[in-house]
Amino acid sequence: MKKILQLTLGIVTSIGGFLEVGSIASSSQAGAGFAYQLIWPILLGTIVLIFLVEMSGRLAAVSKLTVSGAMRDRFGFDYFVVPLVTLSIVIYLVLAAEVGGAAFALQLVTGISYRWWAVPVALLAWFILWKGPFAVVERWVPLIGLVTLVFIVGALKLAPDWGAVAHGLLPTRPSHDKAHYWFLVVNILGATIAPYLMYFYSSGAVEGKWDESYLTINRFIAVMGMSFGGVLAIAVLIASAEVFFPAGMKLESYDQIALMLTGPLGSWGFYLFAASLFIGCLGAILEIALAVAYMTSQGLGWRWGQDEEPRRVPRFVLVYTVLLALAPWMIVLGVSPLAVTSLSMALTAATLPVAIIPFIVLMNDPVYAGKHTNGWIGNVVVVFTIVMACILAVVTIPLQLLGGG
Amino acid sequence: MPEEPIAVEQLLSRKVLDPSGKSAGRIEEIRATPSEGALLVYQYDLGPAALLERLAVGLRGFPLLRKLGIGPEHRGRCVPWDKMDLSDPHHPRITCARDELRPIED
Amino acid sequence: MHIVRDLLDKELIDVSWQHMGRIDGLTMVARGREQPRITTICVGGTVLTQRLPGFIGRWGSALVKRYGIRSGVPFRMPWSKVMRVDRVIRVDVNSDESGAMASSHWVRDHIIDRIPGA
Repeated sequence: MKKILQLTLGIVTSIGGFLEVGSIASSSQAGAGFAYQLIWPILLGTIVLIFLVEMSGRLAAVSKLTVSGAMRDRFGFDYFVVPLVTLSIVIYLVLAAEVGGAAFALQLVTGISYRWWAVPVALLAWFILWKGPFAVVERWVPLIGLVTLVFIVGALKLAPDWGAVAHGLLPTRPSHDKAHYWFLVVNILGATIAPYLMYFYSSGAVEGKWDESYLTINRFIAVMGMSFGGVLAIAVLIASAEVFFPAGMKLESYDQIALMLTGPLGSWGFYLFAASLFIGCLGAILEIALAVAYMTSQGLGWRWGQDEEPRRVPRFVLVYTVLLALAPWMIVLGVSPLAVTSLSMALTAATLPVAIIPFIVLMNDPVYAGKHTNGWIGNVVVVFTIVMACILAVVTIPLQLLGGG
Repeated sequence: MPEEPIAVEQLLSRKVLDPSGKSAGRIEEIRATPSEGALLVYQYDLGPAALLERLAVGLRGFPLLRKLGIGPEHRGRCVPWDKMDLSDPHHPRITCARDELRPIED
Repeated sequence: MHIVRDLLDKELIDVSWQHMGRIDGLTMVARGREQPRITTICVGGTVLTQRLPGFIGRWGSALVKRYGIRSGVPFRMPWSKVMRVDRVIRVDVNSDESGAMASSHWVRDHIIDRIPGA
């Protein structure tokens, strides 16, 4: 029974990883700009993520090490410092974007500017981590996060052309505005395949004391959890395509995106959108803050654990405290939340190789993966992802400049 | 050998030269055996790109890459402890010619 | 035993099975023509920063020396304390009493305990 409940780890990883501001923004822009043509990057990202998350869980269950711990263990500090520094910087930007998203959700509901909400949001997140054990993040976020199902309801009510939707599952050439098309592809992939998910998930597995008996449930969780997020992102795209594409609207701010559900669901739609945006972003904030604290502590050899009392893991707590203290300021200073989001997705895509390349070694090394080293499918997916990540790394900045919203 | 203690982790990746100035490789691994409360160093393994080997070691079991020539083909050489001169730890030297070194056997 | 593969960067566990950091460095000595011996495990301080290349390493080490808990001096433990070498290294030391957790204790006493609700 306990193992089934671990499905919540998958769902929360998914909500915080998928239905957060980057996915909502890029899926909305994709639907508005290209109708159903851009469903395929969401599908691709989801499939890649399923494999990567499954590997993170398998690594944790077999070696009892998290991804960062295994990286330091196997490659040494000399290598580890590179992902530690680059990913921390990029993840900080993602965190700022999520704070912006949550703050904006509050602006939608209260009318008070998002700039005032940034600090309270960060404080709330800090307080949840300070007081709550891992179970709070793992159980409550998915429960409240079920509100995001509203996107599926909305998409269904809009009665899309399912034939066109199915068509969008496969890559097609953009009918117009090539640079913007590929820019969105990069953003969607960067929003979907976020490395912090793997650090969070493997740490959650170790906190949950997984062992080899969890391998099957891990596969189930990876598939169901990530698919849940993927389906939600596609629903956002569909709703946006139905509402914004016919009008030829280019989405420049969250105000506009928020109108997506008012068609099918009336004013309820507006508030439910705000609630979904808020919980998705809050989930992401919690996950990201924990992921950085995990990555730093595990890599540098500090004691860690969200289930531990703060006094026993002081440096771990210090990391997420400092991170959350620094998080709101870009938003407070008035930087556009959508711009921060876009930049953070692009940089995530650019730094993916750094995060993914260690996987090919770790998951084939029996010292860490035991008897459960990657099969050929897993290796093909990882190699494909590395190649894709390297291409993304090269094209992302030029695309950001050429095709950026 | 110097009297000053040496930081082992900083020896890694240092290029090792033989008496004629030819490069014998970089220090990749150090082998030691427990003895009387310490570890007795008996061998240094040299390789083409030390820390890159640390990445590649896991790929030994990866047949495709082996076919591409990355992997055990890049066998390095081993240096017995008495042939390594660490009087200047930043510039390790071997006391025999490079070609006299045996290849690493695992 | 392979030093890089089996010891360096691996987790240390103390006598009460508590996590104690990682082996950040090891010290080797030899007198004259004697066979070199690895005698000491080093944790923390400038050991890690000195593994970084070039000026990054120098700046990092300078920062740690200036602001670090023991002015950058790492925690040192003789190899004789090692009880078992496995995927983690178990040592016959009490981590909280030994000084290994000095910076952790400092953060706890000066920052964590000062937060309301600790």
